[in-house]
Amino acid sequence: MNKTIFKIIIFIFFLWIIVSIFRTLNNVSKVLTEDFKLVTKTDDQKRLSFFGDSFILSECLRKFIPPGKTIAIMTNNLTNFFYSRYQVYPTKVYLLDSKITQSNFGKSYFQYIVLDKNFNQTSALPSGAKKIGVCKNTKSNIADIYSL
Amino acid sequence: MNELVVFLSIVYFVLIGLEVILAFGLLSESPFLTIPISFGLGTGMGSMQLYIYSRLNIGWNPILLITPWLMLFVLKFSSIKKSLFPVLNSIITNKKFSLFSKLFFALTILLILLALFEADLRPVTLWDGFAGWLMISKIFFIDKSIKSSSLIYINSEYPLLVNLGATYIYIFLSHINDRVILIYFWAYYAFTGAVFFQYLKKITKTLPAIIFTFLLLSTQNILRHGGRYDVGDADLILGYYILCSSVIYLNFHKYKKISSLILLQVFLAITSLVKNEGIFFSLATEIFVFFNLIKHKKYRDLLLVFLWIIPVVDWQLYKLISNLPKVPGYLSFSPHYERTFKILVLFLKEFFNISRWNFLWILFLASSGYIITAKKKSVTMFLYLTVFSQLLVYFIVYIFSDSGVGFVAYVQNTFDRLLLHLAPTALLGSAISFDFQAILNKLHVKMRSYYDKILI
Repeated sequence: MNKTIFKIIIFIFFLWIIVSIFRTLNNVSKVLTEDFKLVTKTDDQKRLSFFGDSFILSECLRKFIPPGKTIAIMTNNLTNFFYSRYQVYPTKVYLLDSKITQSNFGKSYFQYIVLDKNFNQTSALPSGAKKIGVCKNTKSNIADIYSL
Repeated sequence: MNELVVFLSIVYFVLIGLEVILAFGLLSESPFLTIPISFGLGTGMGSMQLYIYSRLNIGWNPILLITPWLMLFVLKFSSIKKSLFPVLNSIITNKKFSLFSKLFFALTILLILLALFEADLRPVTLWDGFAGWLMISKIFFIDKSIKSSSLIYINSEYPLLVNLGATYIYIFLSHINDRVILIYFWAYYAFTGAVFFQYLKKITKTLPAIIFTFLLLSTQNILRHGGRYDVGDADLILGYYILCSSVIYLNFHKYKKISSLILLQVFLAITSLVKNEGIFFSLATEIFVFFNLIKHKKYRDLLLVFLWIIPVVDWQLYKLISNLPKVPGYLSFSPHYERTFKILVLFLKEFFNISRWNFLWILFLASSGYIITAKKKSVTMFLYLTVFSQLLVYFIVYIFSDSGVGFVAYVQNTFDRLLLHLAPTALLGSAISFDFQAILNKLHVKMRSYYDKILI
């Protein structure tokens, strides 16, 4: 029993060494052929290529909303929410779902509402909500921003 | 320039750890481990320093942060100077390395540089990075302290050690840069390799040690979390601390020195404050320590076994007082026993996922079969038992988890990260279970005779 296991272990050990050497060389070749292209790009260009509309949205929020305010975001895309929350702090971003009714907006808790274009909105925006901006990518609108 | 500041911050953390170890003679019996372990100790102590400063309303500015470490250096200069030479001697070696050793050294260095290049290439893209770890670091840096209201906003109950480590570097940088900060996460990858190599080299020889270090660092999942794509998560960091704690325990088991026991307590506290999963490992290790002390009738040292709990309890009390979530949101109190078979199958699937793990878990399972059936039980059993007990904990957590998404997808998306906590320690167990040096020697003799035959 022990001898058989031992032989299996030795076989695995040497097979692993061979596989790992090939994989390391493969990783190096990938860096040279694929990742090296990124070196000349700025950090924002890299963010844009990776996050796409989520990055555009966060930049748009930064443009239209002063730091330190509180935003309610209505979106189905969780990356839009979490990435915006990360990018725009100290502005605070909260996620609202479709069940939110007018009373849930509260009297003064949120100062802005961000409405994702793809969001299936089932409740009306609170009265007095005023559109202050539109976030766009190169082809279409991503979201509308309302102040309260 | 930003990269340089992060590198200097990493050196600063190493120096803090080194200073504490040398000043209090914590690893005098194993100087070869001092520097790779110093990074983890320094980062942990630095993070705790920020936590304590925040609790005491002391400002987080670089001068106030550096001052206590400078004072310790001045006060303990003579003991530091005396203990430094054995550490330096353990690094400098006149030994000539074999061709194979040089080859694997080169491959390992190549991997570390590759991971560094990748870590510094992109701003954080990992979900857990921007939604959790670096989000909180950013908040702390902007708030200039730990505010419970901010933690409530994030709805996080996770310990803060990793976030505070990143915040420390932001303080030195004096701005937020979510690309260069990933070098800090890469450092854990490099130091995991360093601890692994240094310990294994002492137990075996240079060649098997460097081969296994290469195998560890070339494992795709570890490389990904070290720099490629998935960098910015705390799972590999927990893996580093579990490895360090295991090695310190083995050191304590061998030399029975109280200084090793104290260092172990510090590391177990840090391990528990990296991620909640660390608490279970710390508990399991303390059980071994407890029986070890009882066996050797060191009843007076038993009280030390509870040292690690102090900062953990303090964090739990802080959560309670600050109204933070008490338990992770994915846990429910109703068990799903019907999942048992499914979980076991998913576990096995992941162990045999060669694209992620190469043969790491297959070797571990095979070698654990060998160890269990071996007549003579060795201290390496500790490594196997801690890995298996931690796996059992993850199994139980999955029984009790309420993910909100499909259960199978949930296990598939999380289990590979949980295995990162254990991978370095599991491979260390496999590597020291056999005399790989003898196997390599045999192979060398066989190759030589084959080569001679061809030449004749």
